[in-house]
Amino acid sequence: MDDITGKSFLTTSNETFQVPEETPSLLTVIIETDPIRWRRVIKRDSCKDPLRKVIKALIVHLNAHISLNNSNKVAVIAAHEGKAKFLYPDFGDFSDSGSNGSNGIAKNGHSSSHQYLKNSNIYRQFKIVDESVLKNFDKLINEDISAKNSGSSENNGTADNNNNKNQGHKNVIPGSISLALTYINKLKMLDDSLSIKARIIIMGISDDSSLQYIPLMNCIFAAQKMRIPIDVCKFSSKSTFLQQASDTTNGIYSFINDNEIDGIIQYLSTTFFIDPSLRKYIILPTDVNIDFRASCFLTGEVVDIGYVCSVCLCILSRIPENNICPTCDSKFDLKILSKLRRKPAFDLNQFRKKKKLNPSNNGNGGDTNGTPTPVSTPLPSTPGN
Amino acid sequence: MASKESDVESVELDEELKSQQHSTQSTESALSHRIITRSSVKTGQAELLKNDEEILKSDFYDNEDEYDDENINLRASRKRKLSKALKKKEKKTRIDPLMQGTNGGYAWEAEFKKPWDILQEDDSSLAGVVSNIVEDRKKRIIKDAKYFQRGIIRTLILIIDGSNSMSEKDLRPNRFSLTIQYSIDFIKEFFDQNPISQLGVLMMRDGVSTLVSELSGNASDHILALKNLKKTDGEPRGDASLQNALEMSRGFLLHITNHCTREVLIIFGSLLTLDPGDIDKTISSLVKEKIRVRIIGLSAQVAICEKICMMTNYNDKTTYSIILNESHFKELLMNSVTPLPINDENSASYSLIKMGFPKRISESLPSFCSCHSSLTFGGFICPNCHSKICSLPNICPCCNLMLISSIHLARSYHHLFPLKNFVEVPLSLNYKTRRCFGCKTGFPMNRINDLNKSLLKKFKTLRSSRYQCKDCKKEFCIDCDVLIHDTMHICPGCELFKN
Repeated sequence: MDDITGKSFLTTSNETFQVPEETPSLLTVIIETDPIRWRRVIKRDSCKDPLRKVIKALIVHLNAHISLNNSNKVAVIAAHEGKAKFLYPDFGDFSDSGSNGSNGIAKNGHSSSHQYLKNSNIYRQFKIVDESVLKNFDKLINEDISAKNSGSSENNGTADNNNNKNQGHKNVIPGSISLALTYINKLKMLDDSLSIKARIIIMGISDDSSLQYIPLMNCIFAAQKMRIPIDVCKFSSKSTFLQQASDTTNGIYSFINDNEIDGIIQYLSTTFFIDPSLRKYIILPTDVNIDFRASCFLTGEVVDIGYVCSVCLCILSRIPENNICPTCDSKFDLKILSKLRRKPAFDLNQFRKKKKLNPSNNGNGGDTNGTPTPVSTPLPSTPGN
Repeated sequence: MASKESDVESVELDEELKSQQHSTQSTESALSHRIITRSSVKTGQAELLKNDEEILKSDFYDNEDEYDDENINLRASRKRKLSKALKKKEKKTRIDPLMQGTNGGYAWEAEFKKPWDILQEDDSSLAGVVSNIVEDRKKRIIKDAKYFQRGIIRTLILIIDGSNSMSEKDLRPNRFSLTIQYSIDFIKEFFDQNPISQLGVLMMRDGVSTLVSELSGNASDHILALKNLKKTDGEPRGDASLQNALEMSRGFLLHITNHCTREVLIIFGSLLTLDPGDIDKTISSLVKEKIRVRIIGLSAQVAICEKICMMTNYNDKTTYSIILNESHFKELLMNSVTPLPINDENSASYSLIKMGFPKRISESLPSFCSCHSSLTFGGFICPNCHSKICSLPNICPCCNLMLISSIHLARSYHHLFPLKNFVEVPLSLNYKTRRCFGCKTGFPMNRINDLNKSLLKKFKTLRSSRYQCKDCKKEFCIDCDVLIHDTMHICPGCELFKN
């Protein structure tokens, strides 16, 4: 019981228990549906069709959320390759032409009939949500297949190479979060009398890419300002960025191993089911050790102690030779640079050898996935020149 | 309902007959009889009125298609009024036709009717005007989106006027309490957007300048100090002295390293300054030390304030402004949250700053932190000297290294790379999109057609209510536009589609 010393336990000791108000809440789920990324999970593990399992569990989770309160709402956004679509509410932004690829349906094992639910006599609100999610998800996959079939053969050549393919497509998680935020914002504006609560669950599978860092951070700060917790349910590989996202917005971060996907429903119905107002009373399996370190703009290595340009805030692991900032071209003050360059009076290396203490290898633990700085940011111009 | 009543009536009548048979005709029963007949008359009236209401209702529903969504509220309120009037009518008894008002009751008993409520508007004019006003107000928030080099690491002294003039009640509840309240909001916002900056608060009263809270990077300390000020020593008194306050803030800003900006923000309510010496000397020393002063005036323009701002801001007049009302006051304060543009002229130097990125740890046993010397579970470990500190951003108490996390740096990026403003889509016959790309709410279908073409040119009341991102060509509603530019700083369309 290491968790007993966690912050969640400490906060409960002084406070008296208060029953939180029954306010309706909006649950927005962002699920990554890119089939190529999900295929990697299949390769590694015996688990067949993991995306299907996740969707099944998700639907159960959505129904559970709706059943909690009569005015609870849900929204589901699919972060597909290069686009983000609302699966529910259905805004009808899918073209109907995509549903013709019947051979593709058979390949993927999705039911081709228009009856998406086996039992149509279920609770009406469940039915509306479930059907919409399944129908639109089906359309999304079919659109993909028909696009691939009609596409040229060169597309097929690159499709096998995962790395090339992934570079071609942008990571759409920040875009999806921004969509979710605009939707939540509008909903809150429309019925402010209800004062609806909102939270976001991200079910992600893709790896971090340094390109997405700034947009993602901007989304996180917006969510923090709007007091929307972002919970992260991460598959396949750990993500430092999303971990930071959940930490800054008081959400939960949970990494799910490939062989645990079968039991995803248990994660959803326990960890991710708890209302944010109740979270301080419950010990949650969220990871406290988060890497807040940055990586150098020039060399890409993770830095403990770095140098930051006062104008553009780019992070450097060493002082540049020509005394000019590599991002914003501002010339640094030589006096300060010479102060920074000054070595200690005694030989630090000898001292270190004697003590056999090397701080540079000490706290790192071989991690290389620090937070990078923007790579392709535009240069700010100097005013009035 | 009427039939039921009559049943009751008949029963009562039977009873009456019985009592007559007993030849003890009491006055009570007679009274009851009279009341019953009265009530039956009333119910008959009510029925008539009901019919009336239904007709009116049906009228409303017939017209429904013509109303857009924005009119729903208006309609609901009108309905409520109508039903109220009808209820009042029910209470009325027979009225002399000479004294009858428009409602059917006595004229002086009728509810006061506002002629502008009765006014029927056609679908374009009023709703359009209202929505335009709302949109205009929202649009004002949207800022300039040019790329500037900005002084991200700031040092700001906030000077609050605490002189007699601040007890004026032209701002509610008075100038002083509103200023304190807005200052608290300002400090919150300031540290939210400038996490690695520092701030101090001074107050001008009794002709001297007093320290409210010292220069530090901790927002809660300042807020606590201001709240205490409100509680304990809240009454404004004496006169303000600009020179004393400026000299004191100069003393605070003197030792600040060159890469930080040195700024002073004064909230000035009085019209005079009680100075011990020559304020021009103070101004010239401020200019020499590159301290930039901004002043927000609460009453009227004062020449010396303008001079201070002009001299210290390289002849930029916009740094001195007078408030128009409460919301304008807040707006001016929030403008100061954005860091000022810098160039070679106005900033001392560009430099590198040595910073540490500590790792967060969690502990099963408590240990002492080096900042408060108290037992805590977990914290951040300084990469330089391995001492434990409680919070970020901070300066390591052992080795003086500035400790921040990458998140704090990321918070300031949007000042450097602001999002481009959206452009309004002009009115046209056909639009490409029906829904806002962000929140998916439908756009109003304000089309140009032959009917309203000439009218529109005259009044310009109609708008498309669509705002387009120049890069990704996606269209957004005004609410999403404000959210995107004010808090999110990224465009969803560009994130998803632009490569």
